[in-house]
Amino acid sequence: MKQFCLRGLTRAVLSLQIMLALPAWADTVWHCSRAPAMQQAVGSGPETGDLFALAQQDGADDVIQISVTDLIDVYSGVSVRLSGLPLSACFMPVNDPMTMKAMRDLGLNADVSSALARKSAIAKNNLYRITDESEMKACIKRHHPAVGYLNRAQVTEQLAPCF
Amino acid sequence: MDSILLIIMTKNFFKIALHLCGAALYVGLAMAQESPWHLGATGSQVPAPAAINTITEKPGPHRIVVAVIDSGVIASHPSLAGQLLPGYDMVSAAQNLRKERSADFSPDERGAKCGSRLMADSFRTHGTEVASLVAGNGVDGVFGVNPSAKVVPIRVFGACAMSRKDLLDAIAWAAGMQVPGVPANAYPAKIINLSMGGGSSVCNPELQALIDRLVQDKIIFVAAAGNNFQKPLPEPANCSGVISVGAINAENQIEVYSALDPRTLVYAPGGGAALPANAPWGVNKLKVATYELDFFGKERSSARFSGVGTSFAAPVVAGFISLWLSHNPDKTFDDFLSNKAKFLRPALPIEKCAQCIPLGLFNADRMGTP
Repeated sequence: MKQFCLRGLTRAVLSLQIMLALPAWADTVWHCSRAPAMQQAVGSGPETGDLFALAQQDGADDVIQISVTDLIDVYSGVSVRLSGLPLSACFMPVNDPMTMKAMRDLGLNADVSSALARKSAIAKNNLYRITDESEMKACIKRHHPAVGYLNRAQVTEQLAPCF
Repeated sequence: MDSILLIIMTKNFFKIALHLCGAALYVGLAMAQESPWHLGATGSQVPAPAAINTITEKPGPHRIVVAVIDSGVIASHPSLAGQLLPGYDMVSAAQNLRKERSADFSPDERGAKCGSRLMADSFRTHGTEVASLVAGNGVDGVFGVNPSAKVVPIRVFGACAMSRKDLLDAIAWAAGMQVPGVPANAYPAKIINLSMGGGSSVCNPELQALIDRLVQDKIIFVAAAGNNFQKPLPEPANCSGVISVGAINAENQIEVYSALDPRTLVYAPGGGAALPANAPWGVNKLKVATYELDFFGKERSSARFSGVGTSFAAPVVAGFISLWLSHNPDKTFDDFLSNKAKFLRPALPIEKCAQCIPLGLFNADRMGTP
């Protein structure tokens, strides 16, 4: 009985720790890389307020266009291609609260993505593990076309929210 | 001689009868085993909590035309055989890799690129997948909500960005209005499905005026709420007179990627993370007609549980309404709203949006009843 109670207590403490480890801002904002501003698209593009996408939110025209399914696929190690180029995915360590939230949103197990990233060094599957959020922007920029997550929406010359 | 003929005829009759029975049994079994979870359960199966309950609903006598304004449709998909009407590529010349508008409503080629703009290959098959959820014929287990509906495919998305003008032209043409330089649409739509989002946070006046005019003409608009991860509704879902559709999972919870806005009129299964449930709906993805690459890198048609997004929840609603209209072709957007008790039921509330009262799509009664 004592052992049973102890186990229950341990579980409760662990659950509490996990909950505390997830701060109130534990939302993740998916960010996508932007095309270098060298080439112009065919014709004159529409104004930003006139842009539409396939069930996505509006954004700058040069942000790569991906779907939720693409997100799920790329973090599962499935190859996703954009106009012939492979999509890369950046992510932080498994125990990072943002990673946990991001992977949970996609219905994925962070451990699986982590294992895939380790394998990525041998058999390239375009998953890149980085150590913290400060490296995320650099990773997204370096591996264009790429996707990653940040704790708030940021727009730079290299990246912007995907959705 | 006569008796020999009679024996042969009788034999053939039994053979044919056996074949017919076999085919019917096969179709019945296929329906029972493969019918998508989001339509409801057959026999003793337990339906998904979010299933729309149309699996046993027979279409009415009226053939309803649904316009799918999207990335184009690949007409050769077996699950869409016999389901498509002539459509149009409404992407204007400046944004069109084919350099002109035409009757070819197929999407841009896989890997197509527009300047430095990159687009995922998944968008090539987007329109095909959406159309299959409206009117898939059942081949390979891809059942649309209303296989008796016919789809008019209209392309407005290619590898280049989409312009508002093309959207306005596409809507007008879908409804049977004249668009300069484009032959008339011989099959005006009663329902227009828009699995897209963007534009402005407030509905553009020109778009709203067009929608208002067509709603008066008894055309029903269905638009995806958008996969903007809990932000407000974009256009065209934020326009009045439009049935805005958010996504719920098989257990009636709003999907995390879905827009979150009290103005969202209805939620429908949109697919998402797999659920722990030990039931067919645990997969929590919608089975769609799509294309994928085979081992040799060649594109081939397939049917997969891969639909995730409000893009896929919207055609479930469009198909549902087409089924309703097949019994009652004169019903309107206002009639749909006044039939809330018949067609909608509460979905699970969400803490992040206290003002949201999510309602899931549900066929509570026979649609043929007045």
